[in-house]
Amino acid sequence: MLNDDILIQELREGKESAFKTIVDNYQDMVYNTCLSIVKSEEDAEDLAQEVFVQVYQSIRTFKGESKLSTWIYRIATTKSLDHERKKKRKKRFGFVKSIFGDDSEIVINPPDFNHPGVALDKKESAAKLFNAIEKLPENQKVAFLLNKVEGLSYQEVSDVMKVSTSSIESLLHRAKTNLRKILEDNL
Amino acid sequence: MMNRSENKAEEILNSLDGIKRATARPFMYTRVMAKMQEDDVKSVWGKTVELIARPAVALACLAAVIATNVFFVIKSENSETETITATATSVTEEFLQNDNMVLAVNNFETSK
Repeated sequence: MLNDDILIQELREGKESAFKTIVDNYQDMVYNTCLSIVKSEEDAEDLAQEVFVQVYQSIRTFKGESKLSTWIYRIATTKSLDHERKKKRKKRFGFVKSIFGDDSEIVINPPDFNHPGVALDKKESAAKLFNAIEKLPENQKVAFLLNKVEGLSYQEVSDVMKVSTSSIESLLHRAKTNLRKILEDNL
Repeated sequence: MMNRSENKAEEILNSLDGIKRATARPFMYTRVMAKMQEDDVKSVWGKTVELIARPAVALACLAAVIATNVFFVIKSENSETETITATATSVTEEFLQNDNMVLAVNNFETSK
């Protein structure tokens, strides 16, 4: 996109107005992506800020081989997955600590996540689906969420994940099969 | 034909159809700038600690300390040898000097 090219150039030159435009243009996209992965509005807010800080700091390393939005999606998904991994590690560590009698760090399982963009009549089903998505392998989870929540096409998802379109088709097929199985087992 | 649980699973699977994008809280730009300034303040000490904590840097520092110790140990051993040699030489010189002195005195006395 020509507009993005100008913004990138201006940001590289250190123009704050360009950075403000990028934040304004992509804030909802970044927030929504982070939110669908981390399932916490507070964490998604922090992560979205971190994503933009990284965009500002790493704009010189952006080669322009992909679209700016694709690059930002990549940063957002990577940061969110890292955050999830850290959270899981903390949870595991908390469990080990609790075995040894240290109850200072009790990890409470969060309640069902309700995405603010889901229609009211589908909220309950969507919460169940988000719980099931949590059990998917990382790549299936990201592909499914980018496709379903962000509404990206297979081609766009493949650009973000740096894999072929056929791989994305296969990932999404496996994700749906796994989700069906998880949901049927829990019904 | 799909059974009831399969139908329900399918319904749940399609529950994200028509989902709307969640919107971020207002003033994201202001918060991002505040975060960057906060990070800048932290970064001086943070970066130093981060740099020191890197395994490569820590190992290099350890190697430097060990190398310095080894250097000073070897140097002190050499200077000890030099001191011993220097002491031995001065004792010999002193002895020879005394010897010469005795000879000189003897010669003086015999010439009398």
